[in-house]
Amino acid sequence: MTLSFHRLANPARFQRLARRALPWSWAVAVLATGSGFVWGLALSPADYQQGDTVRVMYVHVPAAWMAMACYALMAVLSASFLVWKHQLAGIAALAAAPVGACFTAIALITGSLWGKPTWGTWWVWDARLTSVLVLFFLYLGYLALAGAFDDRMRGLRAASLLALVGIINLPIIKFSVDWWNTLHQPASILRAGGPSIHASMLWPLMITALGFAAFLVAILLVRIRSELAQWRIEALMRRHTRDVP
Amino acid sequence: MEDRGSHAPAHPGRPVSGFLDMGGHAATVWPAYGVTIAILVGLVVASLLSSRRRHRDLERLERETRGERDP
Repeated sequence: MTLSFHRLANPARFQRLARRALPWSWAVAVLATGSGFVWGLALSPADYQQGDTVRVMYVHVPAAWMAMACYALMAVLSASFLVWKHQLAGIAALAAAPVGACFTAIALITGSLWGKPTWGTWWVWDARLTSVLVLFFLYLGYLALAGAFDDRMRGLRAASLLALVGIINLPIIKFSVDWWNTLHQPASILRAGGPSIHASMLWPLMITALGFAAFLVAILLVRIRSELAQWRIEALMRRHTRDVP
Repeated sequence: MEDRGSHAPAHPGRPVSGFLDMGGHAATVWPAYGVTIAILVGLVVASLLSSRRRHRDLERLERETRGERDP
């Protein structure tokens, strides 16, 4: 299956929407992340057990949420690409993968920094940490697979299949802290019975999460537009080489 | 780097030195925020640069294609 111009003309509506939504999502991303960071670093209280190391939470937890949300999004887009042959969805999934990999890397690195003073170790091979590392490798594997074929469409199909299979990892990450013994603490926000942390810590956490979510939207819009341009370039080049033998 | 001796109480309005010191956990807290900002800013810069390059290339290609069609 080759990419046709008619199909690429279809995302015109997306382009209009992206142009309108971009300034707003950047604004929310910068303002909310900025205030969340200041709140978390300077205004929120230190933890009675962990002291100031608890401030790592305000970057670690939202980053881990985005890492998982981005994968769920990528899997849904890949499904829509595989099942309904929606090319914009496949291209959007491709644009999302590096973003998810970045958020996963942030979650892993900040978690490791937090683990050293709190657990006494940078890393343990327990279920939570290992499943998040697997998430990181799923992103990398998806990207490697997408780029491994001369026919980009075939590569994207293979990668989309991997994205779908890999979705099994998401519930494993979420429930790993309940199913297995681990150093990692169980969920304190997304749990039955509501958040178990004090409002003075919940607010900066949720505001940073809002900022990260807006960042995710903004960077995705930029990257999808970029991928669309790239696919059009390749379609034009193909036509060019066909017309001029 | 890590000064575990000083456990200055962390509360709003504490002196700047205590803020920078992070109650002895400067080596944990600041790198966490630093790495986060570095990765996110890096992602933005890389994405914007490549997007600009691609859109420039696309514009040039479209101009050339039009030029060939109606000389």
